[in-house]
Amino acid sequence: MDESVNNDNKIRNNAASGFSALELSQKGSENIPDEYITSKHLIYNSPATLAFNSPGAEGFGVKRAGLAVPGSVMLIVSPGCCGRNTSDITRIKGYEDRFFYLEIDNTDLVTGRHLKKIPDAVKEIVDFCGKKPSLVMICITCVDALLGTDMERVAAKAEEKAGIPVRPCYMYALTREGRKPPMVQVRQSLYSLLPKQKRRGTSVNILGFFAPVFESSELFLLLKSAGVKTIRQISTCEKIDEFYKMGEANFNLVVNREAEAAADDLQKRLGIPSIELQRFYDPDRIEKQYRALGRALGITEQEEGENDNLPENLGRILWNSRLGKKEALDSINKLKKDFPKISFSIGEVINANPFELAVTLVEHGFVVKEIFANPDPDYFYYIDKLAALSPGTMIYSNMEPTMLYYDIDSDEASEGDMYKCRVTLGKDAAFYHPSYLHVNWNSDEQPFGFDGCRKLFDAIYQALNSGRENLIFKGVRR
Amino acid sequence: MKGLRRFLTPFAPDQSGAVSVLYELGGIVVIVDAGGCAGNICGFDEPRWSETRSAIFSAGLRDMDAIMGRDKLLVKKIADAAGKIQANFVALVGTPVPAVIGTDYKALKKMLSKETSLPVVTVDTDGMHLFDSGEEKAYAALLRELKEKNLFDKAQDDNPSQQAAVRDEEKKSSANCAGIFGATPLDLYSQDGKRIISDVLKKEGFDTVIFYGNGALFSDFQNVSKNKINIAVSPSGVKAVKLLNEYFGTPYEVRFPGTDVLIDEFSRKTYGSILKDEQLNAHCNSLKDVQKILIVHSQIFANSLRASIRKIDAKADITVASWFEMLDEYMEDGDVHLKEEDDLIDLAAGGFDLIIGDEILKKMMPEYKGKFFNIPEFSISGKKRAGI
Repeated sequence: MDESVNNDNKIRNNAASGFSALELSQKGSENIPDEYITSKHLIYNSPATLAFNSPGAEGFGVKRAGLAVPGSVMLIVSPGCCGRNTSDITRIKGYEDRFFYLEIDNTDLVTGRHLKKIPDAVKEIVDFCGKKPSLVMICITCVDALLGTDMERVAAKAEEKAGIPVRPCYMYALTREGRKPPMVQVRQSLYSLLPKQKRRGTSVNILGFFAPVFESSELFLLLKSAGVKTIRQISTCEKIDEFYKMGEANFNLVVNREAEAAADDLQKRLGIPSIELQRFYDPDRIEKQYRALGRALGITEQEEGENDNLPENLGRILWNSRLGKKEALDSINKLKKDFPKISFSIGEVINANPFELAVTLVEHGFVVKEIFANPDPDYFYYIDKLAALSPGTMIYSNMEPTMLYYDIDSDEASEGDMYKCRVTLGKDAAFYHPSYLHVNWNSDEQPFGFDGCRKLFDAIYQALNSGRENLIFKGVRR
Repeated sequence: MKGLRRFLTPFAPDQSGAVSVLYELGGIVVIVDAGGCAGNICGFDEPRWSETRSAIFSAGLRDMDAIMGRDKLLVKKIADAAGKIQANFVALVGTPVPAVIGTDYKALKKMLSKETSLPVVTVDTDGMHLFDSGEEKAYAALLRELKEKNLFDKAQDDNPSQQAAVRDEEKKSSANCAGIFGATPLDLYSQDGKRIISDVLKKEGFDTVIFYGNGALFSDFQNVSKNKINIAVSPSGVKAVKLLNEYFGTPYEVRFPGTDVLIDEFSRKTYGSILKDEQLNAHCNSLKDVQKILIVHSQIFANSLRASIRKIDAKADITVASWFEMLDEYMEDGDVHLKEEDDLIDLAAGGFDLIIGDEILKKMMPEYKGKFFNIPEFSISGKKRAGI
């Protein structure tokens, strides 16, 4: 990569600035350096920041999330530039022919005339679609944020005209670090569609992701132990009626903080309470959280051997956290045993809190060389732990301007270096180290709990194993 | 309905065009946005981004920055970055947000000039125009700034770049250099277009061909007066070559060199492996069989392609149409400047035997039964693949 740096621009004599875990810990959560505060500097635009600058380009941004309701279509009302990259999404299976655009020009901005056209535009696309859509999402962008457009009112008019539900969603990059960022609002908008209905004690929703949690997660087993019969996620609802039934849930499990506001809305409007869970990779933390959840749900854990003589069709599966934990620990230990000298570089474009993951790795004896992520004050619990266990771990902000100078792969392991076995976790980390082994760990489908932990360590093992010859050559693998 | 798109995603916007021109010049390029535009420009419209590092930044505007008009904060952020990053210039590229709040780029430039000694280029793009307009503005803004700051013909000789050294060596051996404007990756149907233009011009007698906005260095812009000729290969380059004619008296041409060989190369590349020579020759000659042709592509490229086809069949009835800039002086009777999707749908129903354009257009014309030659137009489909 370094060879391709523009040689005419003289941008090569400096270095990327970052702080060690120890330095950050000593500064404390009250004194986070400006390098990590995006409002304090220009935001460097590299492939490592694509998920920040353009969330829709990878994973779920507002556009893709807004189409989570089955059978829905989206009308993007914006200057042309905002819709430009949507063609990338339309190449994803299930998103073809679901986007329409109403382009705004300068006169529209001055007069607001585009707002008057929206109901007719919605009617036109509903008529154009071969099959009547279940919902039209109107996606508006920064310009309407600045104009103070009341899109709720416009959507109501469009709904009247088109005869199907119409909802707004807000792709306001301007407000991404505000009280209600776009990805929070889009969840609120989607779940606002759920109608009030009779609640069922055996139904639960998992809120937070736009793709399902891996079916193999023990979270489902735990819920079934509590007598839950129906577990719904927006991504697994195949039809709009199934989605509407999410309104019957006894409670919501919130597995992503961006869904908190939507869960609060559902509690106020439909009386559905919620329980919040975090995604951990440390088996002890996972176990503690599950035990707390189990207590809240009144689950008694199955004792060892207790289930041995029960008939298979018992109907009520008993939960046992020990089994999941053992499998997760086995995966970690296997990796540690066969590849004891791995050094990790962890990014933030990953299905994990990179700081929690770093602590987990360090606590299990691995080396974490660096983390590419902005430290939120809430993460200082982990940063303090890192400072104690791995004080030299460097923490960089992908977005800080001097990351232009991050010397990509200049640190190739030299002969005799004890950490020759280098792995990146997260797509952004891979950008900085193209020659390392990569485990992107950013699939749409979401890992959770012991199952997620086991899957991650197995994926790392697999990546290393596939590079076995190379590693043996370097004398790393036992 | 005007402005409503049912088939195509929006085309490459002006801000992408501006960045495309400036990308390789070693400047601090600040996209004055909240982040989304920067992500769109680089993540989608800038194919060099994943391969070549460049100091492209988002201003990272937040709602209160825009509402309160915090220009001083923006200037401070840029000055801080300029203090940490060695660069040839600073460029500000506009987006819809500054367009809505009425950002005064002249004032920003003045403020920045007090904080940094670097040349400052401002491009008042707004995300509501098309990429060629942004390219045109970026070329003009950069050339004007170089003139204003008296930076023409003052490129440093100690440039450490190997690429520049090779270029300088070429230049020493020849004063016979052609400058190409309007051939950024957004303009070309593929990077292969660059090779074809270069080969053809070298056959025409030029020793060096420099693509401004696609391989040229900042020092090349500074030395642009040395070019023997400048050629605009798309409408976005026309203003620049005229400006350089005004500054230095450099003659200019408006054409896309190489469309003659394109027809042949496209056919051989696509069908060469499956057709025998006689069949291939027949295919290459198949243009003779068509009477009425529609070319939907960038105007200058399409015009040159039209001229090449007429060499095969002087009587061919060929219409050129484009959603991008159609300069009046290069239009023939019947050429169409498209505005809406329906304009093409209506036009395509006009009995053409052959349509040449990006294959994504085919889905707009399911009733069309004639031949279709795919020549990708990245600024429309965003697909980086070339070929028929």
